[in-house]
Amino acid sequence: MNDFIRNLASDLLRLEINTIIKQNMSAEKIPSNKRVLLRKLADMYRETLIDYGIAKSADDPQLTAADAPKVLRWQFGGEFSFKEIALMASKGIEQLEQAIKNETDPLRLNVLNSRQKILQRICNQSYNVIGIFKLFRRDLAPDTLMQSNEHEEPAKQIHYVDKEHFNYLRYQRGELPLECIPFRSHQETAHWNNDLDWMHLNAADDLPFLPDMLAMIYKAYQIGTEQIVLQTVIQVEGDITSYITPQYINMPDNIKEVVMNVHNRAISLSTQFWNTLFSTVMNLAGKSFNQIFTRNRK
Amino acid sequence: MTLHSIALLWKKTVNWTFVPVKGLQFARSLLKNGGHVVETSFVFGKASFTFKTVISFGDIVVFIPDPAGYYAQHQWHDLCQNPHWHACYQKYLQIHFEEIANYFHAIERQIAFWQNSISGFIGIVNIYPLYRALLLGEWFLLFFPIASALYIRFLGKVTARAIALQLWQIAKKWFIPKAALIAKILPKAG
Repeated sequence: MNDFIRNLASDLLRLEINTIIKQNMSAEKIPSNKRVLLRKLADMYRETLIDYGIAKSADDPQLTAADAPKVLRWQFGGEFSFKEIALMASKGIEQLEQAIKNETDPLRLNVLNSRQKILQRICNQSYNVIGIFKLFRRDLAPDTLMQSNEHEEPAKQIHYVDKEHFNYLRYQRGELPLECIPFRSHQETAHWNNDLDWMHLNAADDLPFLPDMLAMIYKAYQIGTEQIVLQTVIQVEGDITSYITPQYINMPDNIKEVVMNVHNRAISLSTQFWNTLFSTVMNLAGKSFNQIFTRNRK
Repeated sequence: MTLHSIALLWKKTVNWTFVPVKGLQFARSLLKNGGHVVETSFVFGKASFTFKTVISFGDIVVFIPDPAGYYAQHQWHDLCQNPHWHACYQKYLQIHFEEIANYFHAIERQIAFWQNSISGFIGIVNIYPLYRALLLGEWFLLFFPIASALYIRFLGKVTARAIALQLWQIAKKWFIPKAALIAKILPKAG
């Protein structure tokens, strides 16, 4: 509870309002099973990496041996999967930096810049999720914290690959290296990790997520890989910073007006709410302080 | 009593009970899931659109539906010029923000109600059951905070403080002499 109150208080020091234009938005509910939520988040990130041409799916039938460094071998939603996603995203950021330097077309430059930002977000959020799993490891499997992962050792890797995957047959025929075969579901670490296939995922016990961990995962899932059009950050000291993206500048005037109107309304509503929460906390703290000290004086 | 006044009374009762439920639901989502989602959907032409706002403690994310996902680029441009589309968009946007405001008002009212039972002496006893009730869904634990909030609201803080002080005096009578006795005995025993 102490952690919870401390995180809550620190969250109240900063208010961030984001406006996003989202295509094909469905009114689909967020999965209530947190393991499923993490798997969906990882799937979303993997799809983006594949779309950007930075990574290749292990299920791609056109896969060749030359694609080995690009293959996403973890297809789940646990620490190992997010680690692979984070590393791929970092590679993508480096590739895009090079491409941005060589690009002269302003429209193409805009696209590359926004892709680089999305990759940065994927990388940051993936490391945040890895951090959550590290905490679970610390509490639930402390002996594994300092050990290296067996599946990362080339000699032992064969025991962790999915032998039912069609790439394994191609590996046996000598067409593909071992690096192209996806990993199997990792049941050994199910009590603190989430690198499980759908069958084991639904049967596994819940992980002990804290509210601030959930807030981070929900936010990552909701924002996904959408580009933020307008962002306003209000600090408790009084600093207000607004970010306007080129996507907003390039919009037709009437759409710009609607977007700005939405953003402004969100700012005014959230500052009102923020004010209420803040004054409640101040009130409670103030009242308790008052009661303790007036009683002492008596 | 006319049918109209019965209907009005029913509506008022429903509203009266809905506000705390809405407030608790909102507070629970904020505390348990770290955020609450408000969605407003509408249909224009053959496509459906959804406004979505995710409210957390430190941030608010507003998702605006983009018709480009449903229409080709030239149709999207036509849609931007269509006054019916704009009217529809604005109408549902208004409804969406009213819905968010309703949640905020509900929680503001809740805060005003709970403030009585979560501050000072009484707060020390009530804040943990309130936290467990909201976070873990142990709703029966709401009994004490609700009882004290109602008591303070209707009988006043002075009486509640007097009762708390009386209890403190009794506790002092029972426990402090025992503690002094133990303190006296212990060095001898050592």
